[in-house]
Amino acid sequence: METTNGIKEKVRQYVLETTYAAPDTVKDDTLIFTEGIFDSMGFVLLINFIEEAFAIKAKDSELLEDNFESINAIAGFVYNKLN
Amino acid sequence: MWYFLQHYFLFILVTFLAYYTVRDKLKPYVLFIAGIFFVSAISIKFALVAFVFTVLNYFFGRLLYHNLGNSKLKPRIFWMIIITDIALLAIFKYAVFFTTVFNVVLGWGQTQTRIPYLSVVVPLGMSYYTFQVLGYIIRINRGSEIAEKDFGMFASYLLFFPKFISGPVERSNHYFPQLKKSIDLNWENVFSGLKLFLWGLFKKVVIANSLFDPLFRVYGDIQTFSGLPLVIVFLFQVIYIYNDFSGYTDMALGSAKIFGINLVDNFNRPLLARSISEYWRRWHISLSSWCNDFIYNPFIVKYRRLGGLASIPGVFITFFIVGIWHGANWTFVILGILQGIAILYENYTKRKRLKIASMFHVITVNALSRLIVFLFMSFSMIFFFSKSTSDAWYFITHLFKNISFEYTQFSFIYHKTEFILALCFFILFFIVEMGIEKGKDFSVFFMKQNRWIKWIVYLIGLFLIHQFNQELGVSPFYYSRF
Repeated sequence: METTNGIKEKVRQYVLETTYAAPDTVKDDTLIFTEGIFDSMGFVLLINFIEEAFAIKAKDSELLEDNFESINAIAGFVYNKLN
Repeated sequence: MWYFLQHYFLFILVTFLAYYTVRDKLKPYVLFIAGIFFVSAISIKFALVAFVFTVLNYFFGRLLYHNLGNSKLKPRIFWMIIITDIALLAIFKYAVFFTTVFNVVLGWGQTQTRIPYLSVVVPLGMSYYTFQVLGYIIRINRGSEIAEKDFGMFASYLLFFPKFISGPVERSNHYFPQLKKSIDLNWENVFSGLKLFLWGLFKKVVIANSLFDPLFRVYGDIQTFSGLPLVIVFLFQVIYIYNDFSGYTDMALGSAKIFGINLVDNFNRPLLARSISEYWRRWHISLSSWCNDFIYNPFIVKYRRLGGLASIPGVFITFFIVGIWHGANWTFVILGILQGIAILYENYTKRKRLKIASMFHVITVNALSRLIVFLFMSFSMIFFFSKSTSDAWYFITHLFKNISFEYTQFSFIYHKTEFILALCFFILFFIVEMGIEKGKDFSVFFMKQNRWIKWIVYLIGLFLIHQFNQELGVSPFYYSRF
């Protein structure tokens, strides 16, 4: 069973590995798209990572950038899907 | 210009008095009537088109909302609305282009015209209000928004006069909640709105207008120029369009603030972007974020099984639409393609570029990145301002031909003093932007100064606006043509 903190850590690792951002710039509430850490090009890869890493299937209508705006938002989205 | 400003401020004053006199429920109606009056003062026909479009989409929104639960009817109604709205825009905006294409296809090289050319004037603001309404309809279809019941509220959203001419492309979910709250007269809002308006006016009249004349002298008769004039235009065209458009936007945002409404900003210091992707997150934000949310993201989500490959057609389709949003001209298509290529290049070389960048000092990397972005956007602007692809090609091939520094090479700049002063003001403005980027906001420092000092600065600003206007006259807002 994934905990919220576990989800956050996995997502944070993925964001850091793919964006090469400095670890201190990616906090739980950092707006990763607005701040330019993640760009729209990476959005599709982020979705694919989340679906694979947590074995969830999201509907197209749920995949809005707003639901993925920060690590907190992503963790909340994944947690709700898992439960 | 003073004539226009006098009338504009008289119009704002009357609207202001009515707006803050009536109760909250009637405020949207005041803005709606003011919007119709504002557009009618420019053209009755434009006002009529905007009004019919507004009524039509009010009922479209309600119709779609009432059928959200009907899985058979919902997609049909949704696509009927989308196609109708896009077709209306296309009839006005691309009529000439379509008739030309039809004649080429039907005529097979014959000079005789098969169907008459449709010469239609694009109604002012139509590209802006069409995109706003499309966003509203898509959000209703997604179930993220309730169709607005109050016609005055809906009409004021599309016809709100500060943003009517050239945007920003305001989102309904940002606009409606503000007007649904009680809005009391707040003098702080009024004064900060007026200051923002003045700042926008300064950028437009003092900086953009000084650069407008030489820029359009060159683009208007490009075959007679080569070498240095083209190099000069190449270097200042981004500065011109930034000041013209952000000047307009500040005036729009300032006017809206007087009525207690905060419109979305269109700019976030784009000339400090370190990549083209970042540039598009800072430039014409309301349009680029609209395209991101309603074109690019739905596309890549739909084709996400392709992984990162989905982003390739996604980027090109999005920038193709950004390009032709400006008009039916191949120059705009090339402009869009260039942005797509640059963004894909940045994405696929990110790892390598970061590795190289890590070998140099961060200041060097940032300065070089910004310079590259500036030069790339300057190159892109050749396609933005050229009347045709052959003009653009001529510009590129003659950019470094016959370069000499004789005085006659500068003769295309009639008002040299204003031109140099405008560039000096821009450099000052750019330094202030660099400060804000580093967290040192000059405006906070300025607002802490003595009241007299602030008033002296405002009066100097007004004096300069007056003087530059006397010397240069008025040029239209460039983005109003889209």
